[in-house]
Amino acid sequence: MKFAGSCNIQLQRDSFSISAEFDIPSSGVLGIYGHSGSGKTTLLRCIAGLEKNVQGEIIFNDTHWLDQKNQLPTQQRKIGYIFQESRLFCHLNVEDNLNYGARRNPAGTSDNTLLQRNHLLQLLNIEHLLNRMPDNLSGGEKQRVAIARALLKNPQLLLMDEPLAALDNQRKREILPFLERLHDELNIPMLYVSHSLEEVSRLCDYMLVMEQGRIRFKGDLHETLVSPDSPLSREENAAAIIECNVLEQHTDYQLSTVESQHGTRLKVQGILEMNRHIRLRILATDICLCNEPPCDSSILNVIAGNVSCIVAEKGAGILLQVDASGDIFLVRISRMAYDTLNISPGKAVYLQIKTVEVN
Amino acid sequence: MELFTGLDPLILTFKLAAVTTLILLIIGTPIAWWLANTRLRIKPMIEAIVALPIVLPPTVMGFYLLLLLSPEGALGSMWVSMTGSSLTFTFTGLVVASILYSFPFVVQPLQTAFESVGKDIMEAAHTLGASATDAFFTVAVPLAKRGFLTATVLGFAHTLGEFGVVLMVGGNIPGETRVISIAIYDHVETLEYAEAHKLSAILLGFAFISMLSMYYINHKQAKRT
Repeated sequence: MKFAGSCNIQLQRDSFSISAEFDIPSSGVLGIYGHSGSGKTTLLRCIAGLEKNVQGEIIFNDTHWLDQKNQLPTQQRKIGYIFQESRLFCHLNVEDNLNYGARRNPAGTSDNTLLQRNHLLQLLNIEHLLNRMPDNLSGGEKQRVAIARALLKNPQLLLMDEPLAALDNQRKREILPFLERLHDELNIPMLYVSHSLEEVSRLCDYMLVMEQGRIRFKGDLHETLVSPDSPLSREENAAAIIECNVLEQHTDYQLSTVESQHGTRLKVQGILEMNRHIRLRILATDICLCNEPPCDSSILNVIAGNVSCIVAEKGAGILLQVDASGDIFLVRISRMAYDTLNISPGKAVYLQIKTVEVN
Repeated sequence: MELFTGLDPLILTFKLAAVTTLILLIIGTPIAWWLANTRLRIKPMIEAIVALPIVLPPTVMGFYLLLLLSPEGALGSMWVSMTGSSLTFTFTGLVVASILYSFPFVVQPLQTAFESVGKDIMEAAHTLGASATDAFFTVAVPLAKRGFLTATVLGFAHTLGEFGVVLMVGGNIPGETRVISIAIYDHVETLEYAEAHKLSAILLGFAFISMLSMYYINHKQAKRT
């Protein structure tokens, strides 16, 4: 992993404090995950220069945004910031909102090949809204305009503070694909603050897990989701992510076969575009574990693997990590099943995967 | 000629109101912005001082202003040494008095408008590359335009109706300090009811039309947003 910047900051407030040290990747999405009150939004605001009295050092693309002597004001940091609420200027129409940042930051440097304006408007599906006033837009449309506005400023770092949190589920589903496409098409790093495990699993490549103003865990997404040291593997809806490409389509069954980078093949619902890269999210509770390969089962996805370790024991349940030729799965079984099946680290097992969520 | 001399106070009054409102908008805007954004503990103190002219009897204000502006007073003596002329019983003195008298009527609507603009939208402007001044003029001012309209109308109309303060500080010098309300009082004293009627009706009409247009425009904008 290459880095574009580093951040080592402290912030002291009456009721809480923030202390965080991490590197900003040179591309891809760094998720900042935590429960409400964990300080993740404040951390993002510190990076943007929106908080006063921040101590420490922020260096990005060789520019000192913060050091002992200086604090570069927000308007001079090459950031795009997407807030939870769209924060559009309601006295300007959509086009003037989009131009606001673009006009103040002319794309002079050619090393920054951000998306073309027209392509971006198309991607976010807002071309037809240019003459509308923000008050006449739906929540989802507003947020898409806000995303375009931040990107048209030509930033070198995109900061997103729970951009979906203020939207209902339907609107979330409307925006998430746009964010995923941005992830695929943008070559600038992004920081994505969220308290939704689902969102970070879909969008992020690297993760910081925040608790009470401190970083509890940092690593790449897969590591953060399945590692026994990571708080994320202890969450109720713990899940593993498998990166796959679409290999085959079965039109008569409305299924597709996908293959992970380690060669694991899985069947998923729906006809997916060939060779498309997809992320499968498989919940620990959606996998059954068998000692022998099951025969005559209605479950399509059965794969062989080895128990690599016990991630957590909670109540009657045990969470296991299973390595299937390089792909790591999380499996939750009962303590009773653990004893009856004689499970121990290293044991060869078969996984029956009940549901596969395609992101 | 008779008609012209009769309308003399009218022209003077409008001139006074226009100059006062203009100066008030210039000095009131930064003060209102500061009040809307400060977290300092002296804020209630400043707000109370700004609001004083609303509750103070004009004669009380006029009395203190007379002391302050007279050639022996703190401000008046300074003015005399700077310009050679007195502040009391002059048009300039009236402007100074009117600024203080109409201060809350300009600052308060602006402060309310700036408060409703909010920090969030200003932060958004900064993240898009706007400096504090840039964001103020391109975001805060346009969003607060109803506040500016209210402040202008109230400041202007309130200055028009000034009587007690003018009488104390300005007296009754034709063409210099004889504003419309003083002229009306004079006409009534000398039983020239026709003259009094003419000026009163003009003032009443103007006051009503300005209030009506202010509420009309604000209502239309409120419906639009």
